[in-house]
Amino acid sequence: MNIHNYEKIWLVLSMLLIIGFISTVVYGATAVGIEMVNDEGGTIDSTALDEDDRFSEPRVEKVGEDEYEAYVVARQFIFEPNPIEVPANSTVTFYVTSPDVLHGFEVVGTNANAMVVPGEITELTVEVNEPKEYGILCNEYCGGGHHTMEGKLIVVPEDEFELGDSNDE
Amino acid sequence: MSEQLESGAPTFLDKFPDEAAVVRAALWSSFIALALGAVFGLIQALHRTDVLRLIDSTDYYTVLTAHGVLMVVSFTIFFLVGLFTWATVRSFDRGVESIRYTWTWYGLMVAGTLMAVVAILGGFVPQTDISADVLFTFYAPMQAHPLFYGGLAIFVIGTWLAGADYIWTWRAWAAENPDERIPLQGFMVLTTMLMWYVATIGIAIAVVAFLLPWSLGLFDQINPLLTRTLFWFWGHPVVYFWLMPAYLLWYTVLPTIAGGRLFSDPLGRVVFVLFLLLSTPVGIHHQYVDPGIAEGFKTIAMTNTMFLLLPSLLTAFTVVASVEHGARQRGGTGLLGWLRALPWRNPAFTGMMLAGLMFAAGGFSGMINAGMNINYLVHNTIWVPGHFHLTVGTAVALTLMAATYWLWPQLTNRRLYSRPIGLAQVVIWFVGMGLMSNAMHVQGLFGIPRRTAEPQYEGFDFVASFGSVSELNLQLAIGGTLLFISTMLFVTNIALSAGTPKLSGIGQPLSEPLSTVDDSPEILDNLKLWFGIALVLVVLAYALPLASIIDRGGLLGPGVDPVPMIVEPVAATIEPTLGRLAAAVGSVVP
Amino acid sequence: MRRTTQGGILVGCGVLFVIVWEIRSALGLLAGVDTNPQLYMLLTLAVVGLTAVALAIGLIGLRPEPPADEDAQ
Ligand code: HEM
Ligand SMILES: [Cu+2]
Ligand SMILES: [Cu+2]
Repeated sequence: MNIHNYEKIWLVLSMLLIIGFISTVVYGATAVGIEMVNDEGGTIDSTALDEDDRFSEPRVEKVGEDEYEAYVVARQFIFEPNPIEVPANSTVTFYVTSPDVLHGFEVVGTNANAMVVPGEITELTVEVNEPKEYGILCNEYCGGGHHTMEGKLIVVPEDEFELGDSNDE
Repeated sequence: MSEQLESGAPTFLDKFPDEAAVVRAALWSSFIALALGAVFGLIQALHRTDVLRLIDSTDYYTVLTAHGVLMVVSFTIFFLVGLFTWATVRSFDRGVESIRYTWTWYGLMVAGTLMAVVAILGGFVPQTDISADVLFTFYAPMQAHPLFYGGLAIFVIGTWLAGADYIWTWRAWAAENPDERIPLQGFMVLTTMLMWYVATIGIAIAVVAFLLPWSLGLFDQINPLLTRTLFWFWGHPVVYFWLMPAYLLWYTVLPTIAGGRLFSDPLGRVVFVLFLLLSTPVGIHHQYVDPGIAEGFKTIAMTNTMFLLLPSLLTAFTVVASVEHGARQRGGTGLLGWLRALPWRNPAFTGMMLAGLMFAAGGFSGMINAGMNINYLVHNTIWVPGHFHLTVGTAVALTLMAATYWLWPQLTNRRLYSRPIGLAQVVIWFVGMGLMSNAMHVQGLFGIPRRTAEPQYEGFDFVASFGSVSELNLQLAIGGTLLFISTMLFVTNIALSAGTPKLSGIGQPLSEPLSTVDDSPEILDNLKLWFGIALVLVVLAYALPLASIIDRGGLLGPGVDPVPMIVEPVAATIEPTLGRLAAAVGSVVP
Repeated sequence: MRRTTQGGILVGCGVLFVIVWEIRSALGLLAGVDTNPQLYMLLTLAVVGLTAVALAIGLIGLRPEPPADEDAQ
């Protein structure tokens, strides 16, 4: 088969480009340590969230020095708990699940963004620094009231943080 | 176009009148879907930007479902089967084996579409319990009316039969021409349909084995991650199913219109074989941020996706080289000076070139989507519609419209009603999409979600790193309006063409490639081999993830109940709508 | 004087408009430069308008070569 020289050059450049892309992603995953949401959150019976001690009472818990876990339920059309309060300068792992349909969990203005699927638990770890308020929104269509589904993540100064604050309501 | 030239050659209609009728019918179905879809698109563009809200926000999702289904299922695929019927019959130079069979699959596709559309539009009629506000992705456990799933199934069966029709023609031709190479257009049609057979395995299982019986109440639980994964098993390759008609036109029609010849036939075949092999084992890249799927599977999908760039990059080269060749044939000279020798006043040519230009931009934003880690930033934001309105919404849609300006006279023996309107139409589309898609991309980077009737929240505001959100909203709305106008110009132009006088001898033969198939290895044409490898690759990419999903959640799910998408009866939808319309008009015209 | 056809002006200006306008987003996102939207739009329209006029009166020329062939397609 007769392949023109220009074609060959183009082919080589294309392959280099592709390999370059793959390398940057692999670099991001290994060297920079950007982890993808994966299957480690485990599964759950979505019709019986109230029998699960994490999700029957959505809340934030301290699990170690500067380490917190947030159990969040995304349902039509609210997030629980709301607001989610965590102390500044800590590592927070969110466990999010849904009792009804698919939802999205997006902390606006950050790259904390994942799908919530009934039956599955989404596990997502983030670092929080300065005290600040973030909006949370659902970015997967979940029914007629989808556009009203929002919440808040409040990063409070470490000395003002109290556990249990976030499930007042 | 050659109408003025009267080349003397017979048109497709002259040679194959029965087939031309089917092609016209399929194209008309496609244009009706496009026009309706554009109405819904305009409503969305105005509603979500808060420029003009004619409907209740709960109805926004009915509109969005209709827009998605009409555009990416009906418009694109009806055009595809019309175009492929033309390309098959033209390139094998023989009529279909049974015109009744051909009408049968077309009829099935129409019936399927009508069922699905009735189910969707039922969402506007509170008196019925028919509704399907599930968007075109219909993720369970949201449940649509069985009519919706049934319609989809019948539509897909129609496309399978269409593929069988093309294969039938090919086999009949091969029996009479045992030693000949498959003609290029036929080859493209066949590889695309083989890819479609592989791809639709996913959606067929999702709909027929799970969603349809579940919506009929045969069982009441479902594994949502399983049906979602099966959806994307189909949902990525369908992207190439939309794109392949545009590629076929770029490879085989564009060079002729440009006055030249395709650079290389074998390279075109290589590209289509690559698509057959690679387009399915990548769907998990739509699920980068899903729970329940291990990171390894996501990485494999990501790697495959990146390699899938290759055929498109090769296409970019071939198309530009062929067009340049055309320009030089027309007397163009210089490093870039040849550009001006091209037939820019021909809407068919200019439309396809503008589509290609936007595809380059869309390819760029697509590479960003494909990077797993950057995906966190843009997943499910309006960036994503910004991206695919460049690809399917322009590279495909604009190419199909532009090609119609060339193809339609071949199917009707009539001149186009107006070439200048055609030229203005493609330019308006380009400008409109430039605005709408630009605004969508930027808004997406600010975190504004897609599929949302009112992206305005009580507890927080989006922070624009430059300009302002309201300015972007305005830009999106203006762009959407231009797109709507452009669509209407297109459909009207084609409709009015029916009133122009009949001509004869306006056929336009396609030019031969510069480098022909004769000097390429025979193995390229071994479709069985490629189909087999494609199946193996799919098994490799999907067996483990699917097994793991079923292992985790069971075939019928870890206790997930159906959530029928019956919108709370919106008290008399019509009246408030009219009221709002009156108010809106009143505020413009005091 | 080499005059560009009306069709040519339309196509060229459409593309020019999109390119110039999108540079604003690129400036904003990549360089952090926040241009005034009204002003930028006016400038864009001015650039596109002037180019159109210049093309129309033949100040800059993009006359297709060979000219006669244009309608042959
Ligand atoms: C008349 C021109 C068009 C306009 C004004 C328009 C407008 C829009 C807008 C504003 C959205 C975003 C809605 C949202 O996420 O809230 C959207 C979504 C979409 N559009 Fe278009 N569009 C047009 C043409 C097209 C074309 C030609 C195609 C494909 C061939 C297309 C395919 C889609 C799809 C698949 C979606 C996503 C639906 C979903 O999220 O479920 N559109 N369109
Ligand atoms: Cu939602
Ligand atoms: Cu994809």
